[in-house]
Formats: sequence, C-alpha cells, structure tokens
Amino acid sequence: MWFPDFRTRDFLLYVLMFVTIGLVKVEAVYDDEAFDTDWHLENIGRYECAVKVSNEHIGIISGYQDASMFSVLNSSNGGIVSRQPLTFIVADTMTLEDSKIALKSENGETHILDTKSGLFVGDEITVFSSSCKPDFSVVTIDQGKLQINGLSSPEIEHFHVDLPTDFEQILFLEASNDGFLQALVACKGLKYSYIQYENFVPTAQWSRDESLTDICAYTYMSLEPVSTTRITRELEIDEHMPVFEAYKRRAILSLERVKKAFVARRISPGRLIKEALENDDQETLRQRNIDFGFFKLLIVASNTGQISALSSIDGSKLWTVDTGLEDIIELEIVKTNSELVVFTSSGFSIVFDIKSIEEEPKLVRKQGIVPCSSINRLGSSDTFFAKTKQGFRVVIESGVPLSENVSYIVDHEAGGLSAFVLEHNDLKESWTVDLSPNEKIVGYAGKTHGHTVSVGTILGDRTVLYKYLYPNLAAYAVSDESAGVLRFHIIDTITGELVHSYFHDEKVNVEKPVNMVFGEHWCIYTFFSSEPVPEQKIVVVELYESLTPNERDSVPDSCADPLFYARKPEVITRAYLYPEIIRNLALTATKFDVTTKAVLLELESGQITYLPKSVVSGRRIEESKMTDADKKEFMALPYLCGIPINDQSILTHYRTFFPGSKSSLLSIPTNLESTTLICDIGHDIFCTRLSPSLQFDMLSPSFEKGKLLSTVLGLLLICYFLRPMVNSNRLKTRWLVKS
Amino acid sequence: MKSGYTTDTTSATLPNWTENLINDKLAQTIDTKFDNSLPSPPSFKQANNGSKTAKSATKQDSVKAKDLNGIAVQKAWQISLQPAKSIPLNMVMSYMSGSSLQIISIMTALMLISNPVKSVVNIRRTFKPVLSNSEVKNEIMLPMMAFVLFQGLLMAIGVHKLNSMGLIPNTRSDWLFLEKPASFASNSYAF
Repeated sequence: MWFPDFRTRDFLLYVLMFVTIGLVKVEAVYDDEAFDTDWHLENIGRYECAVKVSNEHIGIISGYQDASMFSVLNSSNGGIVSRQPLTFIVADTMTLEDSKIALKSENGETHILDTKSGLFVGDEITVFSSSCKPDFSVVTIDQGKLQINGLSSPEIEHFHVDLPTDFEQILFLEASNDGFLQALVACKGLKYSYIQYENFVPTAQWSRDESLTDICAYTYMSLEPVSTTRITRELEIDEHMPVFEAYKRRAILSLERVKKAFVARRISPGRLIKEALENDDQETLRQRNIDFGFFKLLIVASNTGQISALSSIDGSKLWTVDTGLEDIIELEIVKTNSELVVFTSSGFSIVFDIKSIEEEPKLVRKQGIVPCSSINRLGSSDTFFAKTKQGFRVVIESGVPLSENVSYIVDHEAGGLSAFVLEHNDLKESWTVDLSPNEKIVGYAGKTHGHTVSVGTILGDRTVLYKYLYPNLAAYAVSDESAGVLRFHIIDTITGELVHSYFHDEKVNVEKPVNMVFGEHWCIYTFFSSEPVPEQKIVVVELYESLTPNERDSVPDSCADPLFYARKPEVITRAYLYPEIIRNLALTATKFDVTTKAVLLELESGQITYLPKSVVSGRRIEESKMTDADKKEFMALPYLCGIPINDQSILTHYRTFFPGSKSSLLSIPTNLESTTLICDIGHDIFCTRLSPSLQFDMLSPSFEKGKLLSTVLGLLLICYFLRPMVNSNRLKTRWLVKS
Repeated sequence: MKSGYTTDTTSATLPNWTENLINDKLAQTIDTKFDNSLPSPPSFKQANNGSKTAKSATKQDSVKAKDLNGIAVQKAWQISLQPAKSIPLNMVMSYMSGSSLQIISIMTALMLISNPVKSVVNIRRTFKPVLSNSEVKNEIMLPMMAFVLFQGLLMAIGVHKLNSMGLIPNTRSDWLFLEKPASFASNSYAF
C-alpha cells in the first residue's frame, strides 16, 4: 500500500490549509481605488444669476466656453446636483412653476427648461419678468450686516446676519418677517457663501470656491524624498563595483537594516507583528506618499490672477496667492525647485520663493521681460524660448544653463514651422515651412525624449524588429481647406527633411479637434472625418529601421551626427474607429519608461479614459492572416477596425469632466515605475493615478498582512503538533504494528 | 544381470561380502548399465559418473558458455533498448503539453535533459550484470553505444521542448538587452 511519507503529508497539509483559508472568506468585491486616489474639483465659474428652482435646489447661470451653463445646487450643503452646458448665452432668467425656468438668450429668444429632467419643454412665455435681481425691499444691509425689515417682536428686532467681510454682492435673496432667510452672497475671488435661516435659527450654511475655474497656466513640483537620494547614492556606488561585490554589499546593507528595525523595536517580535497589522497613521501615510512620489504640488493660475497650490493626493488647497495679473501665460519652477516664475503676456514677471512647499510663497522680485505670446522651456534647463507678440523669438535665461553648446529648436504656429539654431546664446533662424493661405497647422507633436529601454520589438517567432530611435523628429498635420484634405508629415527637426508623409481625403472635419502624440518610435493622431461615414478616427504610424526582422540599420553604441544621418525609417500605419469624439490626447509618462505606454483620451462626453499602446498598435493584422508565430507575440491582438470603449478603463468613473475652452491633459511620473499621476486641467480639475501595467512594484493597500501572518503561525503550530504523531506512526509502520 | 561379486564359498572361510566390504574399488568394477528407455523422475539429475558422462559434461559446458554469452549480449541489448522504449511516450507527452511556460512542463523538460546525462555517466553501473563477462566485452560495446544514442535522443526531445518554450537563448531577441542604441550628438526641442 502506498503510504505518504512525512514530506508528502506536509505538502498536502499545506495545500489543504491554504485552500481552507481561502474558502473561509471569499471577497468577491471588485477591489478598486476609485474615489480614493482620484479627485475632481467641479467648478461652476462666475455666477451670473441665481434663482430658486425648488425648495431644496438653487439654479445658477454661469458662463461656459462661448455660451452659458445651467447648474443646480443642493441648498442644504452646496453640492452640485447637475451641470448642463447650454448652446446659447443666457441674458436673463425667470422662475416658473413646477421646477421650470425660462431662459432668455442674448437675441431675445426664450426657452423653458424643466430643471428636473434637463429638457427644454417649450419656448413661449407671455410676460417675462427677471428673477435674477433679488428683492432688497425686505432687508436692510448696513455695515456688513443683513437685517430683515418689519420685525415687530422686541426679542427678534435686533436679529441680523453678519455678511462675509469680503462680500461683493447678494446674488439671491428670499426673506420674510417670520424669520425665514435665504441668501447667496458673492465674495471676492470667486467665492460664494450661502446662508439659510428658518424661524431665526440657522438651518444651512455653506460656501463654494470657484476660483479654480478656467486655469490658464499650471506647473507641478515634486518633493524629493530622503529615501530617493539615498537609493540614488547607493546605485551610484553599486555601478562602480563588480557584480558579486555589489550584491554582497547590498545583502549586508539589507541585513543591517533588518537588524536596525529589530533594535528599534526592542527586539520584540510581538511589536513587529503589531506594527505590521496596524493601520498606518496619517503621518506614515503622508511620508509614504512623499516616498512613492504621489504627493506633488500642482500649482495652477486662474484667469483672475490667483495662483493656488493643490495637493495631488486630494486636491486640497495648500496655499493661494493673489497676484492680480489677469494675463498669466506660463508658470515655471526654476533653480532646482526653489523659485516659481510667473510669466505674463504683457511682459511682466513675478518670482516667488517656494522652498517651503506648504507655506505661502514669498515674493522675491518683480521683473520685466519682453511681452510675449508663448513661452516654452528648453528641456530641464532654466532657459526659455519665447515668442514675442511681434513674432520674434528670444531666449530667456534664469538659472541652470543649457548643457549643450548647440541646440536646435522648432516652433510652430498655424501658418507654418520655424526652426532655429541656438549656439552660445545666439539664436539664428535655420529653416521655415511656410504654408499657403488656405492651409493651416491643426495638430503638432514633438517627439518625447525618454529613456530607451529596448532597441527593438520582439516578434512572436523571437525575431526582432528594430525601432527607428532617431530622436529629432516632430509630426504635424496640415488642413488644406481648398483640397479638403488633411496632410500628415513627420519631419527631422534639425534638417527640416521630410521623413514620412500621408494624406487623408476623407473630408476631415477640422472644426473638431485634431490631436497628436509622438512616442518612442510611433506617432498617434486622431481626427473626425465625414466620409465614408462620420467617424472619429485614430491613426497610428510606427517607424522601424527595417521591416525585415533581425535587420539592424543603425550602428550599436555609436554616436552619430544628426546633420549627416541619412537613414530613413520604414513605416507601418493602421487606422481605427473610435465611438466618441476625442478632445485631447496625452501619453503616460513613467520614471524609467519601462512600463508599457498608454494613450490618455479626453472625450467630448466628459470622460477621461486610456488605451494601452498594444491596442492602438500599427502591427495588428486580421486574424485570418495571423500566423501561429504572430499569435505568440506578447499582447498580440488581431486587427479589428473599431476600438470599443472599455468601461473599466474610464478613469473618471461616473463623473463628468468639463474641460472648458482649453484643457490640458498631463501625466506626471511618480517614484514608482508602475504608476503615473494623470491630471486634466481646464474648467474643472481632475487627478487620478494610473498603472498601465498594473501595480507591479507596490503591495495593494488591501493586502491581507494579518491573514498571511496567521497562516504562517497556524502552519507552524500544526507542524509542531503533527510531528510527534507522524514520527510515532512511522515507527509503528516499521514494526508492522497496526495503529 | 552380470555382477562383480566373488561367489566362491568353498575356498575361503570368510564370506565374500567381507572381502567386498573392504575392497575400495569394488564400486568401479561393477558394470552398470543405464536403461534410458524410461524417463528420469522429476527433479532427478543424472549423476556424473564415469568417463563417458564427463565427456558429455564438457561438451555441455562449452554449449552453456556459448549460450551464456549470447544471453549476456541479449541482455545488454535489452538494457540498451530500455531508453528507446520511452522515446515515443516522451515525444507524445512533450507534444501534448504544448509550448506554454508552465512549471510542470519546464521540470519535465529539464528532467529529460538531466536524466540522460546521469544515465550516460552511470553507464557502467547499468551494464554491470553483463560487463562481468570478459568474453563478450567487445560485443557489448555496440549495445552501450546504442544506449548512449537513445539517451541522446531523449535529451534531444528535452532540448526541443525547452526550445519550443523559448527557454534556450538562441535567437536575436534573447540578446537584445545587450544591444545598445545609437546616440546623437545634439539637442533638439520641438514646440
């Protein structure tokens, strides 16, 4: 008879234990970090009119893009119930019965809106009387105090409400001498306060801050944690050591760290386990967020001249400075995270000291530079390339200089491209691309300069397609209205030579956004075309040294002069259809560029989503044409013309993002290679974290440390008790004694 | 039946049987005739008695030695064919388990490689029962070579399996991480 020996038994026991532990508590809840790691600042904008739409709701008319927006607020807490962009500018509003309002447009037309359904239910109204102007006859405002007129009782005749000190005007007011009062007060800096009294008793009070509406410039600041500096230093030491010695050194360091951890906890395993099981306190979480690089300072400037610093963790305001500048075009952090420079189009510039990140910045100096229409930073240096209002280009230096002696710059505007050579601070124009009057540039993207992790793409049969990694490339799309075509070009930014060109004669609608991103060896652009059927299209262009596998054209580990680099890429393109109009496009950025790239999409429906690069691949072919080797390729997908929207990849979840007239979608790398911060800044501000290849370098917050420890302990205990039993059984078996 | 006993009772005082009793060579003088018309009883073996039988025994010995050599060679072939018998099974197994990377398949493939090496190293121990016969040593070389060949075939199945799983770094993609990109001596910025 087969009788398992002790090892087999142990193994079976372990398996049984794991299975049992797994079955005791099955957590079938989808573990998502939704609404925990992401935040959304919903803005309404400047309130133009406030009306009561029901007992619980207040309707607000505000400006949005080139028209108006109607929003409904919950009067008890100030939360946004709904926001509805309108197609016309609302000049006046009148409240009607049954939660309906009449909206009068600038050209005198009236539209009746049912605020419950958000539908327009008619357009005829006999007499229009505005509800936007509050009836001040029932109250008296004196020295920042609001009093209700006609109060008779001596106990309540001194009843008054203190208005905020920075109050500007009352937008909405309802009061009666029975002690009922509702008032929405506009304060300085787009802040709004609401007060509600019933029987002279306050029943609701809230305020809303709309100062972060319509951000015109932004930047971000990363906090360099102590651990990163230590790791960088250790890596530098390791690099100069032989592999085994470096490994030995690393092992000794790690052991010392474990020893230190034990000593710090007075060599008490109980304390260690307790610490492992405990929920992290606020300070630990904060430190971890800094270590992981999740905590960044998002510095934004609004049209009103207010500069605010937001925490990337929860969107909370850390500080606000009112500059009074209404023409801010650029915010930049220079001199290794120590100074914040505010550039304006009028040429006036302010420099703030932001060394202590959580305190309000101190003004360092005010300076005047040339009035300019755009300012761009040259790489990571503190040198800026500015375009003046007269069309001249100048270079502004303010700290860390450029590392190279010669730099090549390409700038674009609707009418063409201009290239410059910057040599020892001397800027010279090198070449231009001038378009004809009926042509204009509608999309432009320079190639991102990231790390090169691999020089080739590995195919299913384990051969290699070598990527075209020439860095000086840019892509642009030109719409030719007379010919009705969209031309797409990739050019060499140093020589201006055309590298690849293609055109679309599918009646491209240039009124809709044409977006473009240029990744490592590929470029993706999107446009809306009317033929053969109106569809949003995504086109991917991939550049390879050769389309023949294992054929490398470039010389490995060589240093080439781009002026004499004549190798041209071989190109593969694919086009896809997408079910939503894409407003904005961006590329995920991670610290070492190891994580697979994803394309971020801001959709016209107000959603932000992403597509893994493997889905938008230029090498997808129809399933019938795929060979067995093709199918073996990592993440290989057969070509299907349509890319559906994956519900699980919607980053905004059920929320609707209002981008405003101009929004910026950006990806900020964190210290964790797997994770990137995604922010969309426009009328609203939305930020989240994204791990395009899952969180491979971080334990999930819901990782069951307790379960793991108790399993290990349980197994040890079982072994402890089972060992003597097993030993006696083995002995009996030897002596042929039946137990 | 003729007998060698002395039967003269008049010439001697002692009876014949006493003389016979002290005569050591009496047994040899007795003429024995075997009647082979009847089969021997089960388990009965004919005694090696007399010069005639000894002759036949040497003859039998040489025959036996020849048989033994034959048997030894046969046995050697049996040993050498043992790995060959498992070749079809291993081929089917490795084909059926596919080329996906799984720990079981990898272990099986590694064992298919390591076991033949072990067997070839221990070839003398495997062939020990037949190697003691010095006469057939040369004849056994062939089965031994066949044994090595079959083990080699088994190993080839393992190597093929590992290769189909992509675990043998024999393609360009396996060494791609060592290939360095070309760098370009200039800075360009595009806005």
